[in-house]
Amino acid sequence: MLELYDQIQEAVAEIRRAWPGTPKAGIILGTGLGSLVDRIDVEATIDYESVPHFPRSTAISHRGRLVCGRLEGLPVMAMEGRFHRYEGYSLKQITLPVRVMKAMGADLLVLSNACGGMNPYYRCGDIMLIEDQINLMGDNPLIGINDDRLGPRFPDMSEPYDHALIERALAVARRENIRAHQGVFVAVTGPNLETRAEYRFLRMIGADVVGMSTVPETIVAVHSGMRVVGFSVITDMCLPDALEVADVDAIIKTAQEAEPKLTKLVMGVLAEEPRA
Amino acid sequence: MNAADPHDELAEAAALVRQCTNLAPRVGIVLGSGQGGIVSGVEHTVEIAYGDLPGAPVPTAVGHQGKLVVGEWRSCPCIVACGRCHLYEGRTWNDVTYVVRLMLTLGVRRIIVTNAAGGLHPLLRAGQIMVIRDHLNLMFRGFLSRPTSEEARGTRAAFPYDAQWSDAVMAGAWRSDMPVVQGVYAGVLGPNYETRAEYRMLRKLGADAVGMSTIPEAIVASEAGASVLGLSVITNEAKPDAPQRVTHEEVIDWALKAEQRLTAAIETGLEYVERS
Repeated sequence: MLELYDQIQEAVAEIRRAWPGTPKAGIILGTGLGSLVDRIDVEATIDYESVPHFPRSTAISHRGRLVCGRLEGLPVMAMEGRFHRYEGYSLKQITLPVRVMKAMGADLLVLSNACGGMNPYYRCGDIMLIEDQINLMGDNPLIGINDDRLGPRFPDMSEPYDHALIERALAVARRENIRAHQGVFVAVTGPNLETRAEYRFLRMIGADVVGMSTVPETIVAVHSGMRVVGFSVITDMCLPDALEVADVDAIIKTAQEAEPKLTKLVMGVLAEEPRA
Repeated sequence: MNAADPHDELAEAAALVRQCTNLAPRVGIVLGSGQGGIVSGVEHTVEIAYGDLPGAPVPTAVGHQGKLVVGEWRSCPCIVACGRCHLYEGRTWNDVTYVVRLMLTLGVRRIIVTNAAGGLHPLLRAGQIMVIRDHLNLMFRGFLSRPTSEEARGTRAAFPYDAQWSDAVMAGAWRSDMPVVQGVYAGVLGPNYETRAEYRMLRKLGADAVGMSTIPEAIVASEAGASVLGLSVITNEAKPDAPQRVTHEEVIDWALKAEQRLTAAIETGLEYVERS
């Protein structure tokens, strides 16, 4: 476990060789949501392959490189393509990039994902600000001997997603007339989509949307003292009594159609981040 | 010899304990976070460091010591484990059940497990003792493989927690005007404290308190046909609608404050064993 610290330093050293900047924010984009990266004034791109200890992205429509530069004038470090538990990676591997972003200087983490909507008042293509989360992955990225240099043994999770950032994003949504909600995200490992019985169960325990990512990254970001804002794009509706067969192409298409809205919200949040 | 055979290791460890003391313990007690001080009630003690026991995992958590104390408590011969291993430390199911399996190997037929837990039931207050009447296993772990010699030891008890023993402790507390409650303990992996959404989920699923231990020990003991008494010290009140930050220091603090009550509950349990 204590070797994680050295892995972070080695990854940071390699990235600094390619990019001398100090990111204020780290950005991790979900399935079909990668093109926010096109809005970055790119100063460097680094393939995951060339960063020590980084896993390789294998998921559909994930590219697998770090994009460093400025977004709305703010120095950022974005992951184009993320890692998932269902690819066989450990949660520690999945969350290594978050540790690296923090070590590079970022104190804000922006997360996005494509998710299934279970709250019947949501619609396909809507965006949900993640207000809270439920970890049903049956695993935790903090398992192991705790390295006190990285964070506390038992991190508090009473406000995993920063309320000020949620308010800021919702204000942008109102201004831009974007349908945005706030709700509870539940993470499962996947990779199969849920059965109808599982959707009923997840709804019953209090979740509004379900996905296969984000929760590990948020736990590690909170552990390391970062503020987190999370955007879920509802790419299919999962209403157990009117369930349609999931179509991955349609999900990615919905994600791409919703992306301009997501981009506006993220840019709006970052525009108000202090520069100094 | 093959050092990896856990059964051989247990037999060796049991032989070592027998070399250190002539006392044949009737009750095995596993103490939780910040509760090691309770062991001062034990008389004529012999101490064995975990490090001296073949195959024993050494705990890393704050507030845990890591020794076995054999002696008489209220004239009842006991073996007390101070310092426990947790799954969140990266330990296996085998590791976290080691001391209980050692106790069973030594012929102990009654196990008391204590812990520090977060109170979910709205009437639970920090500092109270909760007698565990049942549990909800949300730890997503189990034996990867286990020695067949242990499997053959007994059949699974219908209820992991001994009803008469629990009743006796409740009645004893009632007589001595001590506020003891009873309820369902949910075991999760940790190490982060729960989110508000997770607290609400656990409550909805039927849990009264939540912690990161006890269930592996209770399962292994009850599967071996031993009687189990579970005692939780409520160290924080989970209030999802009025959230407060949880710190490990606060948990340890309440564990220490409740030490007298926990001692009284254990002693009532031991008196019951002496009577029966």
